[in-house]
Formats: sequence, C-alpha cells, structure tokens
Amino acid sequence: MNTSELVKEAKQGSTAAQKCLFDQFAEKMLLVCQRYVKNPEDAEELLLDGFYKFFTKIASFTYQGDAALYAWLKRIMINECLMFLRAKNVFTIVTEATAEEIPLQEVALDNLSAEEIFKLIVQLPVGYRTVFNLYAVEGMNHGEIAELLNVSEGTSRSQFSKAKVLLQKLLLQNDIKYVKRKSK
Amino acid sequence: MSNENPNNNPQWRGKLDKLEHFPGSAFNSDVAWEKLYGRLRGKKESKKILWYWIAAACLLFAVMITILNYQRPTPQALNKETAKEQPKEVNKPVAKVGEINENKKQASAETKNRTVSIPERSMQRGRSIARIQTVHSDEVVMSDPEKEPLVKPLQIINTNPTIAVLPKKKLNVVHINELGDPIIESSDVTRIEDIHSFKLKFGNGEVLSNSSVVSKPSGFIILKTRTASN
Repeated sequence: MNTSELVKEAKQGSTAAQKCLFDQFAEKMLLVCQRYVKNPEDAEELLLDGFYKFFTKIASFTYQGDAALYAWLKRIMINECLMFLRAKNVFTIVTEATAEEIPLQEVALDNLSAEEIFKLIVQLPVGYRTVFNLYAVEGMNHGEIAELLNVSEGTSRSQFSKAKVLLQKLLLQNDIKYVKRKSK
Repeated sequence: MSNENPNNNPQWRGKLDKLEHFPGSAFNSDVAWEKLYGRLRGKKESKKILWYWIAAACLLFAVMITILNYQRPTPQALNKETAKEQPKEVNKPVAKVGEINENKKQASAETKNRTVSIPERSMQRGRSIARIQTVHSDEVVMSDPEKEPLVKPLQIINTNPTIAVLPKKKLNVVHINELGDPIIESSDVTRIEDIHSFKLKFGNGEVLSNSSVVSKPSGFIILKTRTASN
C-alpha cells in the first residue's frame, strides 16, 4: 500500500494505516526532534506529541506527494520542539544588534559523515543550535527565524555567527581527533 | 548582509537529510506506537463520553418537559373536575376566566326557577329603592306588597373575575301570602315621605296652590295656602 492510500485510510480513522505511517516516518522525525532537543526522552515525547497532532489534523491535509507529507510532518515536529523550548524557558537569546560575518568552512563539514555532522550540531548550546538548525538545515531566512523565535533579525544573525564560530572550533577538535585516529 | 539564505543546498545538508536513524539510539517504534495509540484512543473515548453525556442531558430534559406538561391540567379536564366538585364545594373560586361564560350559562339555567321575593322596605323622595339581594345567579327580584307583585329580574354584570360555583339547592316555591303581611310595616315607611302637590280653585276665584304637601303618618295633612292674584 502506497503513502497516498495510507493517508486516505488514516483520514477515515484506520488504526492500521496510522501505524504504517508512524512506522514509516517515526525515526526520521525523531532525528529532527533530537536536533533541537538534546534529551532523548524529551525528544521521544515531542515525537509522540507531533504525531498525535498529525493524526488529529490529518483530515485537513491534502496529499500532494511524499515530499509534501514529509515537509508537513517535519514542520509539525519543529513547531513542537520550539514550543517545548519556549515552555522550558531554556531558549534565551541575548539580543545583539551587530553580528560579525564569519564564513563557515562548509568543505570541512562536507568531509564529515551525516552522523558526525549530527553530533556536532547537538553539541551546540540550545540558542545557537536552534538558530543554526533553522537557518543552515531548514533553510529559513533570518526574518522568518526572528518571527518564529520572537527576536530581532540582528539577534538571529548574531546567534548564527556565534554558532558557526563554535562549530569551527568543534570541527578543529574533531579534525585533531580524526588525525589522531588516523595516526594510530 | 542579505536576508536570503545563501547556503541553500550544501552537500552536508543532503547528507543530514539522508540520515534515516541515529545509530545507538534505543528507540522502539512499537512501544512508542502503543503510547501514541493510547492517547488517540483516549481522545476518541472522551469524545464518545461527551456525546453520551449530551444525549443523556437531552433525554432528561425531554422527560422533564413531558412530565410537566402531563401534570398541568387541560381546560377540559378542569371543567370535568369542577363539575364533579360542584355538589360538594360551594363558592369555590375558579381562576379560569375562559370558563366564566359556561358557568354563567349553567348558573342562569339553574336559577331560573328559584326567584326570591323581597318586600320593599323603604321609599325615599318618590323613588323606590329596592333592596337588592344578590343571589349567586345574579338575579334580583323586587316586589311591592301594595301593588301586584312585580317580578322583574335584574341582570347585574358581575365584574369580579372569580366565579362562584352555584350550589344545586332546591328552594321551595312559597306564595307571598304565606310569608305574612308586610304591609303594616312597610305602609308607614312608604307614607313617611309621600309628597303631593295640587291646586284648589274656589268659586270666588281664589286658588289655593300647594307645592309641597307632606303626608304625615298621623293622617293630618299640612296645607300651605297662597292666594293667587286675579
């Protein structure tokens, strides 16, 4: 059974179809949640919250392909994560009007595997991580991020720059470790 | 610095998107599904329970209305009840204005035969004032003992919204002679203030006129004379 039929049956309240959709997307969505929320238990709880919202609002969803469904689910998960961070009040960003432009060494990131990139991102502090995820991974611009996080665009830029600086340091450390591993 | 995102499709982002699951994570899909299914079922059940409560409330409301309507007596039933209660209870006020006409008809039909003769007790300034004895049927009969007994029923409009239920009493029809002679008592009363006026013309052209002659109960008449001028 393909995804469109699963969505159709899930709209009609079929538990089997809902489970199939959950099995299909759960792990990917958990990775999304873990990129924003470090704690695995919290991330799993947010995953369940996101899917609960998805199944309760699936009637209003019009299937336009797997990519659209994935994007919609991802958006739900990101919103859940941001709500969680706001509720926990861990998401405090100091407003800074000016931000120094620091180029990110993307070539260095390209040399890393997906798992290593994921680990690097998770190591960032919550404020930097959130802005970095929204800007570099989700592809949002600073205006959208500022609106989402209720901060100024300058603050979003500043946070992203600091995240990149920290990421360079982590990359350097990672490179040293990588060299050490290779020399051994 | 432009607002647009310059790193739209870097290579590392594609790698990150392709990452299916994180190695070493202890995520159990079935356990997670059980938790999620419990939430979804709980929501469905709570919805069902809500509908049950609404249905029960509607049913209770309908039953209450039915009981209240059943307990409220209809006008026809009320008439039957009053008709049954008539011989037992007298002068019981009935609140329904709509029954006034029916009760009046009943009352007039019942009391057509029972008229009460009342002797006239007082006469004042040439106008007879009859004592009115109101019977429940609203009929009044007055009688003058000196003349032929004039039985004239007077219809009195009863403005009182309450209607007295008439008793079904059978009154004996008694001839007026059997009641005794009321003339002695009433003659004085009637003569007390009889006022006459007349003119007396003598042969010599003298005219006696009396505007007010008062008849006294002693039988004397006081004449006030005045000579008319020729």
